[in-house]
Amino acid sequence: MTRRELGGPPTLVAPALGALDLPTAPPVTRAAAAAVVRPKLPAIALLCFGILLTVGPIVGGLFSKVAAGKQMIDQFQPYMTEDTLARYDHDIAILRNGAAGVDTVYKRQHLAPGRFPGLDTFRAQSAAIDNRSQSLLQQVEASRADYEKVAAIGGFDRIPFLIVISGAVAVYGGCVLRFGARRRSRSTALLVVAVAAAVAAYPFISHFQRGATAGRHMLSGLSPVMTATQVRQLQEDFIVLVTADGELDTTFRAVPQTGSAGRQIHTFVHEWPPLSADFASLVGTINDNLDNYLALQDLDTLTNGVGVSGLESFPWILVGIGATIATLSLAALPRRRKEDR
Amino acid sequence: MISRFNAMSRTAAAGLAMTAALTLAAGCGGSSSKGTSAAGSGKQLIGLFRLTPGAAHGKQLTGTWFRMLQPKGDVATGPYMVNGDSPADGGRATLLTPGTSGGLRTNAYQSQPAPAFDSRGNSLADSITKPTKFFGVQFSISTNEVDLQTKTKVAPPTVVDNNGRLTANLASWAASWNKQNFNQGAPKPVSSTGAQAPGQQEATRVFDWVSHKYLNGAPKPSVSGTGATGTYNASTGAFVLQWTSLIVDGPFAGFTGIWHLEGTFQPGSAGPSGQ
Repeated sequence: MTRRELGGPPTLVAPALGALDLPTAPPVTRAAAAAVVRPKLPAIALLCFGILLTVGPIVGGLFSKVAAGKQMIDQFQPYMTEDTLARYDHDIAILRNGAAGVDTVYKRQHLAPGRFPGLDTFRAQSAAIDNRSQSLLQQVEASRADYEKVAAIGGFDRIPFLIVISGAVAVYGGCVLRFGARRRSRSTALLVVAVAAAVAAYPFISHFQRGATAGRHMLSGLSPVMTATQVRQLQEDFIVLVTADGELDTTFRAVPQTGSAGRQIHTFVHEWPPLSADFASLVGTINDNLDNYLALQDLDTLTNGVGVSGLESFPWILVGIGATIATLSLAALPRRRKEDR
Repeated sequence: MISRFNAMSRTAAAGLAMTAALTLAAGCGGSSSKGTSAAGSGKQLIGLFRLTPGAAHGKQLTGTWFRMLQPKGDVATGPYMVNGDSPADGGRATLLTPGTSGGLRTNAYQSQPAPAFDSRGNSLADSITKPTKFFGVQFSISTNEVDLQTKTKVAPPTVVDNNGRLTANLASWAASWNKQNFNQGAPKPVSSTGAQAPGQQEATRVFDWVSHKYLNGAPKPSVSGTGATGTYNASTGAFVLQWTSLIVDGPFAGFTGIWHLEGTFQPGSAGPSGQ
């Protein structure tokens, strides 16, 4: 029924509704949540392996050894070019010719031993000095190809950082996967796998694999050169040469020196400053890198216990580190129980 | 290795003590008169140590000279390197003559010029001594804020007079020959040229700073060994300074320089650094 009042809207008037007697709704049931397990062993292994990778390079002195190797590579760079080696070859020829010139003048002028003691020693030792110098040069030259491969390794001195960073990420990953919020598990594992992939790929991207084998050959090729005995021998040879040059440039001038012998002696004296500078800088570089060489050798003997070269196995160690970290992080990902799947 | 470390520590400590004494002398001494300042129990001599040219009378050497001792040799008896270009003592000594400054300035550097060498390796530094022929090539002396061989920052030359006895810090004394630089100072600068991992230098600097500021750690010594010694006559200004300096690293590692400076001290303010 509708009742209308003056000027107002119509109003509906209805009888009151009776009470409803509805049946009780049944309870809503859901499937029970599947039990998720967080694999304990891989996460703990990842954590421990990460600690080992973080601390190992620091405690084992890997940073200093690799830096020493890098410094040696850098400092030998000027001597490992074709031009420099040719110049050294030329220097040796000047010394050889100078010795021959002195010999000729001695014979031609019937010079008695003792008048020029420095030149007497030079005549007696010049052949041996020549042999030693040539042998040294040949050894350096023979190592050049290997040296170039080692020098081509990209970021050689960054390798310890790479290991330590991968270790730190593994520690973080191990902690999150074992103790952290489950929702962060997947992203953390992805991060760890990415870092692991970078470590494993580094040897191939940086030519480390090729350079490491060459490094081993270079170490072996330079082993007769990089010794304190060699440096001492070179210093003794230098004393013989400077003394000879001193006499040639002063008292020996009074002796007639004509023809090709005179020219050979003149060339020796005239070329002495650049020649001795070459000699001194090479001896200095060898001497200053003896410790660096030993450090590099230490790296190579790191894995002597298992009968392989440390340098050659280094790239594979990195690959192994990458693979292990990746595997452990994936294995440590939380997953449902088998019987619940 | 440990004994070597201990030895190094001892020499470093000795050097440190000497440097500390000299630094204290330099820092604490108020100027008492021109060219001298109180330095602990001694007086620091600031000015020019004008060198007397070297001369040889037979085996007798006077003035300013230098010898180079072969490895494992004895300072008094040799064997010395025989410099064919020197007439003194059969070449076993090389006589030096004063350079454009007249000698050695204290409390200032007389640095190596640029370029340091000509195309034939002759040293061009001519402030302290004139370039002198040594094994066919001219060598000379300079004092540099950053040592040319060890790359370590060193103090300028300082000389302290203690009642006629001189002690000197000449760590910055460097010889240049044939495009090579050799520290020939006393005490010896500790080398800063060792291999370093990327970032190691910065890390070491931070560690040293933290150690010094919060752990009361002593600053890392930059020199080792003892300084030069000598005599001084305050009334005439006549002085003698002498020292030996082992060549560390480089082509002549193991050789030792024996230095003898003689002349007259001329008090004055510290000269400008450089030539």
